Amino acid sequence: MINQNKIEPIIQFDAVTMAFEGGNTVFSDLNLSVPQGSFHFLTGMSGAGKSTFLKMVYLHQAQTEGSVFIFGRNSQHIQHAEIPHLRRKIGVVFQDFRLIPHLNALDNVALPLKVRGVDARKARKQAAELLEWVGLQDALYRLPQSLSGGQQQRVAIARAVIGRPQILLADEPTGNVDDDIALKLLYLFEELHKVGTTVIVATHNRSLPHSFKHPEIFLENGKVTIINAHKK
Amino acid sequence: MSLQYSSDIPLNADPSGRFVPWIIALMVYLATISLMVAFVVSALVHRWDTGFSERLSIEIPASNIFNPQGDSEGTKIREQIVQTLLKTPGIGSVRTLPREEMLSTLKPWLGEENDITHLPLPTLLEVEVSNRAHLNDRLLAESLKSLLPGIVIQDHQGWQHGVLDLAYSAQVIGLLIVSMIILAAISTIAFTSQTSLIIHRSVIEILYLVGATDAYIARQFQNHALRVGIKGGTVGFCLSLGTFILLKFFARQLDTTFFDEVVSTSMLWGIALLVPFFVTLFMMISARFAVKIALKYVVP
Ligand SMILES: Nc1ncnc2c1ncn2[C@@H]1O[C@H](COP(=O)(O)OP(=O)(O)OP(=O)(O)O)[C@@H](O)[C@H]1O
Ligand SMILES: [Mg+2]
Repeated sequence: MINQNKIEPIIQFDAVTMAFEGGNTVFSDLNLSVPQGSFHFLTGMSGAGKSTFLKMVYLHQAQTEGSVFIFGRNSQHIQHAEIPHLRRKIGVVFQDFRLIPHLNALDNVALPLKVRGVDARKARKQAAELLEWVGLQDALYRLPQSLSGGQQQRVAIARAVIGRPQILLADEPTGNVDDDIALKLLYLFEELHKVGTTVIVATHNRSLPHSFKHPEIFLENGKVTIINAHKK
Repeated sequence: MSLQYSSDIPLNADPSGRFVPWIIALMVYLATISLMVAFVVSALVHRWDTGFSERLSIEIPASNIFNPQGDSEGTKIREQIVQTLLKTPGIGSVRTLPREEMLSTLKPWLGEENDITHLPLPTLLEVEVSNRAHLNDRLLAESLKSLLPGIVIQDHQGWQHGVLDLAYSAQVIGLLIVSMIILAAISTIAFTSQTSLIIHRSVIEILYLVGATDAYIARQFQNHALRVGIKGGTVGFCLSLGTFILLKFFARQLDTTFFDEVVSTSMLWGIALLVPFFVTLFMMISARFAVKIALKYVVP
């Protein structure tokens, strides 16, 4: 029997303050814990700090004060050499996709497996399956620049999940697609959540979360509010 | 569909990288030629070394000149000289040139009709030096002179030293040039790798974000250095081969056997193949370390 209260937080922020040089304070004294296997929407206006929050989770941005724990590890105590191994457990859909321009869709998706030393044939086979899953079976050999924004986004999603991450962070994954495709993509994340992946989907579109019964992490003026599904 | 991954970092497309294989080709060529010259010089030095310096000739004046009393005393002193020589460390063998041999060499000059059998002739000793390092020339000369003040010791060392010094300095200069060329190749690769790292910063950042390690990224540069090394090394090898064939051709035209005598062909092949191999190896190591160091500063 799993005691719900004892589930370890997979992400935990303790009194975190994030201020950029020049005095722009994004968060101050932020406290938050994200349980393992949960699904959260991360909302807030443009500039509220959603991307910054996610960057701190995937160890790309260090906080100015307080502590961030990822997989129970204090981010300040993580060695440089350990970061790649932790990142392999975190899949990220970047707001600006970050596809490698000279690699086709297939090789872009296969990349996380390649850096782990997975054999090329096997990695490409899995990449092709995932591209089919996101509806891009006809675009395997196309370069990112020849794909539409929405198609690039789906390549980015396929790449984020190919390594079977424990945490999936998606930064505006539905920003470039019509609402019906947006819903389809969210159902993909829902599938991953059902198999145990911790999911955080950042979006400034606050109507999207309403279709799902998942809690919302709402950022505003450097403060965080958790809006639970039942309160909606 | 190729079974290999395409390279993540488009290093081949770098404008700075396009001329690097040619620079490496030139460096491999220069290094190979310098090493070949150094080894040819070394082969020549070796030939001089064994041809002359391993031998001394000792001339004992005709016995009636130093000892008019009689031949028996002369024979005794000759014996003593031979014994002294044989006891000297570093000396292998002593051969007394037989009188007949000397006479036969003199005959063409003096003519058949002259009876030269009674001519007073010096005795010549041919001394083989077995170990030059153990032989103390000065001590030997002193002890021989004490037995017979008129003795003449012919050593080929004096004039030879200059030539040997020259030859050895040619070798040292050759090796110095090769070291400098390899150093230049290493620096070229280190600098172009670090430049590419800055050019491809955004791609490298993506690689990091999907979980690549420093070693993985460094390996991409190392493999690129291998490709550049193979390209440049092959061209450099062909150039040195061409030069070698051309030299051999001219040597034949001049009808000298110098090439075939002094230069061991397998040695030249060895140099021509090993230089590109080692240059490529050093380039790979250099790329790997330059990138590993630079990664600490370029990408956070
Ligand atoms: N590297 C940086 N240097 C300085 N300020 C930054 C930096 N990155 C972000 N900021 C600032 O931090 C704040 C939060 O930015 P962030 O990108 O996290 O917002 P967001 O919620 O993701 O916005 P959007 O919905 O537009 O993507 C903004 O005011 C932004 O200008
Ligand atoms: Mg953002």
